[in-house]
Amino acid sequence: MNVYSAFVQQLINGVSIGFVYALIALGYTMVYGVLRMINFAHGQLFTIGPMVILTLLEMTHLTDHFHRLIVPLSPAQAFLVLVLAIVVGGAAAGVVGLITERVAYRPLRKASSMAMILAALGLSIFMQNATMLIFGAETKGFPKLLPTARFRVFGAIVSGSQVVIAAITVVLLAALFYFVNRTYWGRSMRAVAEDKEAASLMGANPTQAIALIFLIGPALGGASGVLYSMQYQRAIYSMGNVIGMKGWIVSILGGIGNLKGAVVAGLLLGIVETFITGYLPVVTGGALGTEYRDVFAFLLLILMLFVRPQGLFGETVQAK
Amino acid sequence: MADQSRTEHNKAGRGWSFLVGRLTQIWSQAWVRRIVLLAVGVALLAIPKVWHSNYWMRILDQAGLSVIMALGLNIIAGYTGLINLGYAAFYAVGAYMWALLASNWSGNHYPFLFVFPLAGVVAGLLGAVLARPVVGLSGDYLCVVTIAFGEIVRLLANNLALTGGALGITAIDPPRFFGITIKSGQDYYYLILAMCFVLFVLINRLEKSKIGRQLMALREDEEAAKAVGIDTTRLKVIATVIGSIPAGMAGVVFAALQTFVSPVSFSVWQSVAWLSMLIVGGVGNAAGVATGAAALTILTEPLRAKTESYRMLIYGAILVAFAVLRPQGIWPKRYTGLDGTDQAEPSAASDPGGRPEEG
Repeated sequence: MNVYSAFVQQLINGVSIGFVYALIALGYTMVYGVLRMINFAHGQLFTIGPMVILTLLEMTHLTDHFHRLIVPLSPAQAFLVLVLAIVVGGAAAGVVGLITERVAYRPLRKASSMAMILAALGLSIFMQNATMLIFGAETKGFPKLLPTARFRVFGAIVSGSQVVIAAITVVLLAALFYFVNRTYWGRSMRAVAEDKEAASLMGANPTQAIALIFLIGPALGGASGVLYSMQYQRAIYSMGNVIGMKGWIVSILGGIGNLKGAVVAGLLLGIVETFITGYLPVVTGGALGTEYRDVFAFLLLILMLFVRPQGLFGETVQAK
Repeated sequence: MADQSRTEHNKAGRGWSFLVGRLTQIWSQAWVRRIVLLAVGVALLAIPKVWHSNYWMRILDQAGLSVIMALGLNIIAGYTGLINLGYAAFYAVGAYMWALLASNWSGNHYPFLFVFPLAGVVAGLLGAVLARPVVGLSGDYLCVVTIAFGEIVRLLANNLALTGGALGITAIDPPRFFGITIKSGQDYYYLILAMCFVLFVLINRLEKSKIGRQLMALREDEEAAKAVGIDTTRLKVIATVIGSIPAGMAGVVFAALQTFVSPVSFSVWQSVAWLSMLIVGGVGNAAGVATGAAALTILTEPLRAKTESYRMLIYGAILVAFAVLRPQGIWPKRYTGLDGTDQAEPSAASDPGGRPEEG
């Protein structure tokens, strides 16, 4: 593989993981838009999607105890199961998101920011450990539902699974943008995000709008989790941690509260991360390796907060 | 004014609030507090002599370290309102310093009395470095940056060969000074107790000093503090530096106590655990925070043996419960009035940070 095709390969891989980041970041950015808080518990919803799906697949005897398919599926059937998995996983995560809003955030609507932040953190710990206790601590496999074909594009290898995941993500994003920009409920959400009181004066119901956000955001997160597990063939109770952190980093990078920004920043982080970790061993002669991949997200965050605190697409926020 | 609030408390009727009112009244007498303090002090000193259990000694040691960390975090978060979720980074710095400077693994054996204060200095410097960029940030952004900071330190510790990578550093020396070697759980208990005591005294001094009052003014209402001429930026940096020094020093003792260090101990969740001790104990109240830290650690450490995750599950639940139901903690902060008496509320308006505080 020559330099050029290696470059394209990194680009494709970067975009691939970038889509995952983008979907997660949308959840954070949507919640921040209305509640002005970072929902630290959101990362755990990334885990819940795949976990629920794995359990359901096992219960319906489609997979064995080791999460391998025991029923042979034709490509069409596999695709159907795949789509169902995403929808159901997303729905499960969405329901959990609604519950967290009702239990933990709604009572704190008027509380100080420290209380809300602590509630979010506490919820995050609680959910992660609850997931572990319910679903088990071991790393689980994930059934092969994605096509295994591989193509060559400009000398780089693209797997069929990457294509399918990218396509599904684009569909999800398109659906989200249509919903937010072209429907009544989407308008209501945007109005509530901009000014709660004025929106309620105009007939939008803030409580419902917020509940909707806590349904859609986590649903996207859960769907993203299912996609991630399908791609990397594994799921573990702690998978929401690092991805969650990158999620809120991405939403801040893109301008928190801004949906478009979250998507762009997600892709950007995926690409930058992949490139840096790809070329880091080469540039430093092996001194620094790929294990530093996660550090760059944090460094990028600090850099962005120095240079342009409102993010790529954010509005300048007045310092108090 | 103070008299009025006391009689009002007395008139609060039968039941819980009446009891609390009476207790508050008794507690506000200085001599009562001194006797209780003395009794507590004697009890603490006597514990290892009457209770012979290595297991519980270790738990008390951990509790003591948690108290120190909580008190340090209280200076940063409780007095100034700067939530710091990267506090474990200072702990890590102290711990790794001792591990690298005094262990068989590294081959160095620097004296304890040299590394111990040095760790405080280094942690303080790190605090100064961290504080400068974050002073302008509010709530969520502050959390995010401090998490980022903490994670960077942890990831570096996890990946650098210098720090032993994910496996960490083992065979760490025990502290040795003035001919004594601190080895057993009991030895560590007295060392940590001494550290707690010194820290308490220093914090008491700090609360009553000019800087202490400025810190509390900053916490209550930043705009008003600026209006009376307090340099809030400089103060926030000072608070972070002061708060990070005990963390570094506690880290040294932590490394010695465990005889090994690994990056696992310095995660975001550890910082969250300390923050939850703050909120449970009573943010801004040194005694409350110490009680909360000790109580939470003692109650949850035994669960570590059963399963780590039940322990963390309970931590999470407690945190959410307190945040929703009682954000001011079990022992809310008190305000020393101008005439020296303790009051439950500030003389003027109610707490501007959110809900008005309940008495």
